[in-house]
This record gives sequence, C-alpha cells and structure tokens, in this order.
Amino acid sequence: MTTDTRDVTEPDYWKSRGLEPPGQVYTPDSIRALRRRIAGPSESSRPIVIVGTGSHLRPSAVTAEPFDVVVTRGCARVQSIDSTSGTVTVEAGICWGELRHRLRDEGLQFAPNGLYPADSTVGGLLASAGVSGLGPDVAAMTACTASGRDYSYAEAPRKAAGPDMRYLFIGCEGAFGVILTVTLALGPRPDARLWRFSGDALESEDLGGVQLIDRLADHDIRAAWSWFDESEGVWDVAVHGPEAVLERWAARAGEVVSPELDLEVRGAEACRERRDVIEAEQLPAEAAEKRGRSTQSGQPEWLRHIKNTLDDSGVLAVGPGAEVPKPDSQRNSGGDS
Amino acid sequence: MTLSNDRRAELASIVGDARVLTDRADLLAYNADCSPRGIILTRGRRLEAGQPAAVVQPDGVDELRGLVEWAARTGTALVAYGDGSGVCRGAVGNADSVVVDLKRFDDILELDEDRRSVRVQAGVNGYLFEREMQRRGWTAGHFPSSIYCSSVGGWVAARGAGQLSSRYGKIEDIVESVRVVTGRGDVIDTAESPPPDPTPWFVGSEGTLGFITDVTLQVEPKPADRHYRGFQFDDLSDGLEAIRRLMQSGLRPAVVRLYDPFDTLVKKAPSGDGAGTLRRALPAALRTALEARVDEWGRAAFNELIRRAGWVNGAVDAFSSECRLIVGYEGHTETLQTEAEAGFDLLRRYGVDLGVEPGEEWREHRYAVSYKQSPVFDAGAFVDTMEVATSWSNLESLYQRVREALAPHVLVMAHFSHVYTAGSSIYFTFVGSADTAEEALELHQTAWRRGLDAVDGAGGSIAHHHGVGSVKTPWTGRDHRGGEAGFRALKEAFDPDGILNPGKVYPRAATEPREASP
Repeated sequence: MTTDTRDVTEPDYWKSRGLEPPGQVYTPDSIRALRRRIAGPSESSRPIVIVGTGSHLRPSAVTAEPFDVVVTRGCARVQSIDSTSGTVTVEAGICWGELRHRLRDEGLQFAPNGLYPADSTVGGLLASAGVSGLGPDVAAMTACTASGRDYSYAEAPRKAAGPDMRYLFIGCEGAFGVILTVTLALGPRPDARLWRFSGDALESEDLGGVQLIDRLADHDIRAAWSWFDESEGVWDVAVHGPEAVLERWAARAGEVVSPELDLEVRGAEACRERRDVIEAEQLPAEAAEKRGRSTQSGQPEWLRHIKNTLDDSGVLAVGPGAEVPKPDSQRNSGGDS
Repeated sequence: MTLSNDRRAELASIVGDARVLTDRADLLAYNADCSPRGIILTRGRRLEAGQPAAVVQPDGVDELRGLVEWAARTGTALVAYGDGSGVCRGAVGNADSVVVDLKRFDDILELDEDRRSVRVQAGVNGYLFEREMQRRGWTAGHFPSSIYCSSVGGWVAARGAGQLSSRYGKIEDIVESVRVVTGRGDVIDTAESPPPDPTPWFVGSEGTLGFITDVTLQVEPKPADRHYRGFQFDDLSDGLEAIRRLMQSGLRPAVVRLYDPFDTLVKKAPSGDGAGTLRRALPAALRTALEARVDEWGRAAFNELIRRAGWVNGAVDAFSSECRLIVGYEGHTETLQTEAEAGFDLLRRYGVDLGVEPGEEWREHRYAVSYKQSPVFDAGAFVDTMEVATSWSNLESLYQRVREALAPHVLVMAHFSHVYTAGSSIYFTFVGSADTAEEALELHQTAWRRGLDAVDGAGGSIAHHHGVGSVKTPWTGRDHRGGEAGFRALKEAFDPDGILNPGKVYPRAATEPREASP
C-alpha cells in the first residue's frame, strides 16, 4: 500500500503515480549546480526527470524508466526586482505562491490575469503543457538544453526576432531542457474589486465563465480572473483599475452580465484574500484531481526530430508524453491579458 | 539560374502553366519587397539582385505540397511571398530560388462569433480582411501602417504589430493557431496538434519552417467609440515617464505614440516665443525635404543637409527638447470614456494637453507613412527604419546609444509606439544620402551595423515587429543567445532539406544548399 505523499524524495510519491521510484534524487541548490546536473557528465546511465515541487507531475510526462530525478526546488531565489520596468527575475524553482507573497511584501504584484496553483514552481508552470498562460509575461529567460547548450532570451516585452525560441522550454514539459531563470512582467497596482455574482441564473448554460467574461469585455470591463465556486453557487470576478473606472464598471456590471443575478461588490482586500484561497487550496486540489483524467493522443513526428537534435543522448526522460490533460472547466478563467 | 524548360514544365504540371512566371517583367516585380535596400538597388539599376528563377502562384495545399516535393528533389530554395510589404528582405530570393506567391489563398474561411475567432487564408490582403470583419461587426485589432499592402500570412510570418497594439496586442497575442505545409510536405494544423503547441515557432518563422496557409485569429466586437488627444512634454524623459505610468496604471489605451524631439520637430512647427531662426528653418526644411516638395536646387540642398548629419542631429539636440504624444482609446461603450478621461488626467500631470486635434489628425493620416518615403528616394536620398525594444529601465539608455551610433552618419529620429507594462519599442527612422548607389548601399549597411551593434551593446532586442529577413541575421543570435541550436532543431523537424527560405532569420547553415539572400 502506498501513500499519496507530495514529497518527491519519497518512494511513495512515485509509487502512488504508478511509477517506479527513481534511482537517485538530486536537489541542486544553485543554478550552476542545476545546470551541471542536467548538462554535465552523468553519474549513472539513467535518464533524468526534472521536477519542481512535483505537486502536479503527470505520470505520462515521464517517458522512460528507470530514471533519476533532479528537483529544481532548491533554486528558488529572487535575483532582482526592477521596479521601473515592473519586472522580477527569479530562479525557476521558486513557488508561485511564495513569490507572490514576497512581491506583496515589496508592495508589488503580478499582472492580475490568471490564477495558478500556489504550490507550483514558476518553472513548472511555464513548462507544463497547456498551462503556459504566463508565457507572454516572460520578458527574459535563461535555460539550458540537455546537450549542454545555454539559451538566453534578451529582455524585451515583445519582439520579432524569428521564431519564439522560449517555447522550446515553455509548454514542453522539460523535454528539451530546463528553465533556469525567468524575468516576469509585474502588473499595475491599481485599486481592485471582487464582484460576487449569485443567483439561479448562474446554472444557465449560456452563462458559462467564458461567456460571462466576453460579455464584460464587450463593455470594456476587463476581468483579471474569475472563479466559479460550485459549492457556494457564486461566481467571483476580480477587476482592477483606478477607483473612478471601477465605480463606472460596477454600475454597469450587473446589467451587462445578467439582470437576474445578484451582485455583491467587495474591496481590494477581499479580492486578495479570495485569490489566496483559490491559489493555495482550490486550484491545487483541482489540479490533483485532474491528474487522473487524460485523453490519449499521438506524439507528433516532429517532436521526435526536435528531441533527437536537442537531446541526442536521451538525457531527459520527460516530455509531453502520449496523453494530454483535458481542457479546463469553462467555468474558471484567467480573464483577458 | 535560368529555369530549364524541363524544370519549368515540372512546375507547370503542379500549379498550371499560367501560374509559372518567368518573364523578365514578372521576375522584376518580385525582386524586392519594400525594404529600402531593395529600393536603392532598384534605383541603382542593380536589377539582378533578388531576382528569382521563377515565380509560382499555387492554389491549395496539394499544389503547395507538390512544390515542396519538387524543391526537395531538385534542391531548389522556395521563398514564400505575400503582398511584399516586408522591409527586411525576408521575402526576397535570388537567381537560384523560386518565389511562391500565396495570394491565391484568398478566402475568409469561417467567422465563429461564439468562439470569437476567424479562420482566414494567408494570402488575404490585410485591409480587405479587416474591412470585411468590420462589415460583419468585428475586428481583429491588427492595423499595421502597411495594412493596404500586407497580407494576413505576412503579419504572422514576420510577427508584426499593429498601431493599436496597446489594446489588442501584437499579432502573436491575436493568433490562436496556424495551418502550415512544412518542408517535409506535412500539413500541420496547430489547433489540432498535441502538446507542445508549435504555433509560436511558426509565428515569426518568415517562411523558414513552412508555408502558412490558414490563420485563426481572435476577434472582438468592432469598437463603437474612440477618444484621441495630443500631449506635449518638455523633454523625452518626461514623456517616457508619463507613458510608463499610464501603462503601469492599468489604464490601457489603444494607441500610444511618443515622438522624440527630432520627430516632433518634423511633424509640427516650433512653438514658443524663443523659437529662433534655426529652430524655425530646420524643421521647415526637413518637412519639405522629407515630403520631397523640392526642386533641383532644393534637392541639392536637401542632400547637402543630410550629408551633414552629425551637425543636424547635434543642432536638434541643442535647440529642441519638446516631445509630442498621440494617445487614443477605442472601445465599445460609455465605460470607455471614463477610462480615457482617467488616462488623460494622468498624462496632464506630466505634460500639456493639446486637445483632440493632433490625435484626430494622426488618425486621418495613420497609414500614410509607408507612402511618404518614395519622394525621399526621388530626391536622391534614402530612408529606413529600425524597430527595437527593451524594458522601461533600459529604454532611454538604448535610445541614446543607438542615436549616438547613427548620428554621425545619418539623420536619426525616433518614436515610441508600442508600449507595454514592462517596456516599449523604439522606432528609429534614419535618412542618408550618397552620390552613387554603391556608396548609398555602403552607408546604409554602416547605419544598420552601427545601429544594431549599439542595440546589442545596450541589451535591447533587435526587432520588435519588422522581423529579421536577411538584413538582421548577423544579430539574431545575440537576441536569442544559444537560440540558433534551437532553430536548427526546428529546421531539422520541419525543413530537413533546407529548401525553405534559406539564409533568413539566422545566417545560412553549412548544411543548407544555398542562400536566398543577395
């Protein structure tokens, strides 16, 4: 019998996911050590599985057994904050929730679009297939491929310098290499409101989360994120902006979404607390539940060609694999960007 | 390479005889895009440069696959071509290549109002596409100044940006998926592809990884309301601080265009009691010259002025510091006005509100810039643009370093027209003059080399929305250090024979059969 532990150094973590425990678990505590572990001489012939906290690892992302594990969680420093540009540079092993709280202590915050599990590492969030909503906020990045090539994306909010090579690492589940550091764009710090919609009309088919967000967007009301809580029968929407704008939006919101719904407007603190609860408790639980649901899908031939070029020795035993997560519930949305 | 009769017949069997163009007049029409270097070459009668062996006009995926198979078998480079509005020679081939004109991929396939997306073929002209979207009550939100002469596929292939990018994003923010025919002849619809999503590799690939045949774009309801105004700032630092604060406040405008002192001078008459002779005469002369209302005498004076670029640039620095801003909000309802007013109030803290007239004037002429450059060439000079990007804290330093690098050689002005919470692009315009085409090409190359070396030295990105083409290939590897290995991996996956637009985006690899850039 195995326990569903969340500690990747424990054999039960792997057994509970239907995998044999790794031969070795490495926990480098610096970017240099992490890079050496991925791209340096191997101490065993086993390929490597890269994990952050391991809290959202899909078993199908492991493409070969037996394997060793490299845990990035030890590389979790905030390297710098550029308050003028509104960017933060971090080691990719830092957890999303921890980083958000560190920034909050500095009076900063991320662009409020999107909700992410607090216990996921930034590198893990970026690398996960289908969870790369943070990609456009990546202003700079360093990574290294399995064959030891370093990659560095010069810092800029957007560019047009050929194909976007960041996406050899973002969304690729670590198939070709590991994300080492990331510079993320922070968001504005305007006022915020939490709109809580409730009422029987929420159960209506044509009031799914995406449709509700679209209705608001049609009236220039930009939701930062939204969350439907089925148990409470409420739909929370976070909006950010100067007070005058928020007041104007609030005056229109009920009518825009549905006159049949009740709307309760809460302040910025309530908005922040609600986000904390969703990211720390509800999203991790949902992600864990979703791990068991997947659909089978073939691996494209071109993926093998890229893998053979960037990891010709087969150092890495992770990748998009042969199954993909089902799409997220349409009820919960990161809003626009 | 002159296409042999046998090869021509093979192409004709794929696309039809009428769709294989080999007449000199046809080849001349495809020997350049809108890059100033091509214009210098053409005006210097260097007509052979960039001239392909043939032009083909396929219709449909099967014909494209046939062309790819033929090119792999014969070792011929294929160069994708849309409407030819590129400015980096990305769609220009050479005598060993065949240009593949995609204009027959010209259908708007499906507007899905529920999903708020539209699937459109790559060869559709940008203006006609947007006009049709707006007729149906929607917009894709992509309005490049080249909209009249660019294709939807070109927007995606070069990772372009529209003038309303602050609201709608760049094209990569608008694209949902693409359908491509790769150099292996495979057809990939990225919407149906299992992870990882390959869309970001094809967006910006400039025809090096596949032919983009269809694009699915997000759409939004067509804006019903707009609010534009002009502002003036004492100097560039004030203007940059104002637009940074605006973007970081969350008050998202649709248009932000801050002109540096030189660009401001060219666009308006000087104001204030202290405007001296030079301060009046210089901008007037420049405006006249740049709009090319010059006679023979004026032409000589114009070129003489440009050749004293260092002096002119220094004079502008000495005598002018004011910067003009155009800012606009577009949207759907009265909530827009509240947001716009909050944005305008913020800007008033940093500069002078010039009212609605400058904004409306800009709107009226917003696509004209692309058509104002020919007269400069008529006057014997050249004009080019260099769009780069960086974070806010590095922006003014990047601006100064590039300007210092270019100033001894060419007139240089700039505006900041695509702004984000974390940074901005800088759009440099430079004007040079030389006696002969050869000297002009050398001066042009010097400007690019000095300018992009300065960008690299300042830690900026070498391209914000024009792409790389062949003009910037020596610098791509500095923008993505280590990225060339990734690019070669993508080439191996999607174009192992190296037949797709070789020598573009990254310098030609040793394994590629030939280089399609002159």
